[in-house]
Amino acid sequence: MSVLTVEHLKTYYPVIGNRDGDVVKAVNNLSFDLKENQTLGIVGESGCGKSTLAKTLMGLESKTDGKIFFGEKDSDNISAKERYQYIQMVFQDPLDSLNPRKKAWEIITDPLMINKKVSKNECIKKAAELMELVGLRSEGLHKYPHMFSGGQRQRLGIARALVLNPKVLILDEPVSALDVSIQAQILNLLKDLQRKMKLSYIFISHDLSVVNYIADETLVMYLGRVCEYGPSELIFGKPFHPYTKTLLKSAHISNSEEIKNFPKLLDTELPSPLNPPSGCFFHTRCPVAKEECSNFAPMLEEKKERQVSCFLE
Amino acid sequence: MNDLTSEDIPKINQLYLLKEFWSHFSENKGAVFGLTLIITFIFIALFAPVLAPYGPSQIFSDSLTLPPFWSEGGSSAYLLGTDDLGRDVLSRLIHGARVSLFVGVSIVLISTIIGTSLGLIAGYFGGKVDSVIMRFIDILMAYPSILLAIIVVSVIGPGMTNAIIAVAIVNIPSFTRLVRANVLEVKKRQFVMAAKTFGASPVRIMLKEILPNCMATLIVQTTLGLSEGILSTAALGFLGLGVQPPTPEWGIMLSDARPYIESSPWLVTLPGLCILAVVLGLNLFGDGLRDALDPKLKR
Amino acid sequence: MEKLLDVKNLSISFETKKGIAHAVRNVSFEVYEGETLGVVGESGCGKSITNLAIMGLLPENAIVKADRLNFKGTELLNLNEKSWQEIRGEKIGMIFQDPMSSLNPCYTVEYQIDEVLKIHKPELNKEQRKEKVLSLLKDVGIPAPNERLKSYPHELSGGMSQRVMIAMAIACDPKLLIADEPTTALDVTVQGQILDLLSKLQKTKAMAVIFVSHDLSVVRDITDKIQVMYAGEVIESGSTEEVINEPRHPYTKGLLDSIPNFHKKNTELYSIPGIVPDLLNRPNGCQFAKRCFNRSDDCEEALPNIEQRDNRSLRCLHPVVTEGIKE
Repeated sequence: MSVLTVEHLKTYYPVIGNRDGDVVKAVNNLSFDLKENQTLGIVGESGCGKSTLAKTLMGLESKTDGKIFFGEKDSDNISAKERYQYIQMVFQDPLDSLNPRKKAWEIITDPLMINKKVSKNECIKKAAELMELVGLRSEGLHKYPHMFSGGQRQRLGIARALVLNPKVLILDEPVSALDVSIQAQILNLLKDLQRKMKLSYIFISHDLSVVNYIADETLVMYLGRVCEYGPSELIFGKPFHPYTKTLLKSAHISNSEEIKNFPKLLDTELPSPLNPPSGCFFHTRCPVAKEECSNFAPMLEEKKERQVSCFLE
Repeated sequence: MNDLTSEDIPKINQLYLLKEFWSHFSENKGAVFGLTLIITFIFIALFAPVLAPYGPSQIFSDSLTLPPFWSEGGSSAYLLGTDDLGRDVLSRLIHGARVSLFVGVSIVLISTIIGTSLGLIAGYFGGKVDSVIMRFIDILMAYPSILLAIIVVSVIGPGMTNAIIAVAIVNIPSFTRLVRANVLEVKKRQFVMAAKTFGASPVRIMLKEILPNCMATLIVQTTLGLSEGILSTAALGFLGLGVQPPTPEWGIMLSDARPYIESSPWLVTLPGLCILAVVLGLNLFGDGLRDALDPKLKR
Repeated sequence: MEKLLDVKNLSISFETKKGIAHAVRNVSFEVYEGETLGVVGESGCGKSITNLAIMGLLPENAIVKADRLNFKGTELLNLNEKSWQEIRGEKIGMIFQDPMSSLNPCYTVEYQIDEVLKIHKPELNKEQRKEKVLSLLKDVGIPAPNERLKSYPHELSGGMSQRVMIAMAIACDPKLLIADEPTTALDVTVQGQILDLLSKLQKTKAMAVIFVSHDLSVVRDITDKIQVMYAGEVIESGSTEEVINEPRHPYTKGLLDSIPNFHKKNTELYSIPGIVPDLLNRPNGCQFAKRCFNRSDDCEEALPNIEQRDNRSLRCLHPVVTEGIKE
């Protein structure tokens, strides 16, 4: 069963100070389908539109075109309140995403107080339950964020995202700001919660080994477009798109000789999203680009059991 | 699954935070001195009727312009002497503390509420709203503050209430600018975005998420605003545009005593010293607060 | 090979209101010419502070003690500010984690690199310096260096800024380059490029590099030797290959096991329980004992000594016996 379906989603930003009506196409024709109890990993370099996608799904940015379905319901036809109870978000920096002037229980139950009528006692009870769930002792209920360690803060952030019982969690780089050993604790917790609560995750990260570990399906983005989208084993095990191969090669995690010997990028710099290249956006850097790549943009097609946008066969 | 327990972290409670604040604050001897001055001032203001030997407007026609008791001709019945109408200077000064405290607190209340709201709105919404509010603030700031207060009073007429309004208006810009700058910084943080993702309204975000994080600087500005307010009101009183006689206000006492500046210097010196002490105390305290609260924020 | 940096029993503590925090305790290591030393550990383990001590950049309230802190025969401990300035930048270069905030936004790239040369190579004239700046930019792989000279930091991407930082650090051909998490703030593709650049420069300029990172996969690729730090102490060191393939200290093993293994999916990750000890109030005995899976009662009695065994050193009473993580 699909819990989140995105069809041809486009989010454009107007360029500030530009009168010609130029736009940055931060998310450009993105489609994917998230099934219940599954994790979709979204990978790409900074500026590829990952964060804009998260904001658009949360309703913080309005989409330019395309459809988002929460289960059966079209996002255009549901109220903001319904949306917040369906999809919630966990942020990258746990210290920055928790209000330093609020106590743990207030932080966790804030969404509850805004969206439902609940008494303070109920809130505290609920907060204690959730803290237990994410592996924190309820003694911490009345503490402020700076009294918790980094990993504990991220647990608080997760508890807050769970308070409205959402079906989908957007995890925006949830472990990038944490130390390796703490990162493992949070990843285990996320897997555990997914099993217990039948959650679906959208896991945004630049760390390929983490995405490979947690995601069932992976979507590789480049300048707002999809490069490759399919089951994680295929994307990481037998990558097709040259950009995916480049990412894997740079991350030094694959053993495959093909990846290790994959040629270097032609251009070290990411093109400006303001003025993207013609044709396939990746052709300026792609070591295996052909002539047609600079003239025509490849369509997203089914190739070798996954969707790829590349002219290679 | 292993549990990170809250027990692993040293227990910190409110009392501890207060203690830590005090240890920072008490390092600054000037600030502690300021605090002592302020507490004395507030104590005198609150218990004025009990402390003052006579009523503020009680006239002793048999003892006009008596010097303080330590000077030649002074009397121990009137410790700080009497003025030209035969009123006890000490009693008037004590009651004057009351007026000053009331005036100062009212001014700070009004200007903090208006200034902070404007700053929050300007900073949070930005764009045109910000431009309109900040241009208005710029206009207020284009005049020297006392001149602006005089203009306002001359439009709405003299008197205690009007003086309070005038000085409060003059004080608004400093609060607005301070809060706006603070909001611009705080609103970029992720917890503001997080609040949006679960549907908090702009008002809620401003009051519950952003404002508490501006409190430290706001508190400091409030103490400084209080001293400025007291000083400005005294100045207006001196010019005859503020609180009207016979209210025992320090500024008026100064102005009334002007003709006797050579013959009875204590009439000018004593209210002046009172104003100096309170303003000095508030400024020292405010500076100390800033030093004690600021690194805390950055840590 | 000649010994470049010789650190023996370096201890750094900070005087705080709540007492003395022992940030680094009895750290000893050596760096030889042209070699790369990786320093690994979690935040707060003292790896950055150790480097700042080598650069003489610690804050005022730091108390530095050492039996030896020797760079090419110069004792660094009692240097005055003037002599420090001759070492910094000229003999030891340093690059930081966040290139964007390490460059001054007010000045052009050319000005900032030129300034380093002005200070340390006063014998060069204006033209020679400009030439040198250009060749440096070429060395660090900046495309169209001529056009980049007049760029301001905000016009550069993260990778470019880090390249400029590297150009500044190597401007005077230092013998030692300290790289403190140089790729953490960068994207993966850029990260790879910067690592390649560092290895290339190291070979062509015969520099020694101290490479600090929390990312073991990065450290593995670029370093010869590695030293793992925990709570301000070196707990294990040796050749990179050996330490990573056959960790002996339970902490090193725990760290390695917490990285999602690329080839074994769907297994629960090992995570080290508990948190690091309070540096103000250190436990007796092994600092890691409380979180260790291999603990015995004697662990908490006295701090284990660093012991040398076949080119590796280890601070542990009950080392792990591993069959090795073979890939």
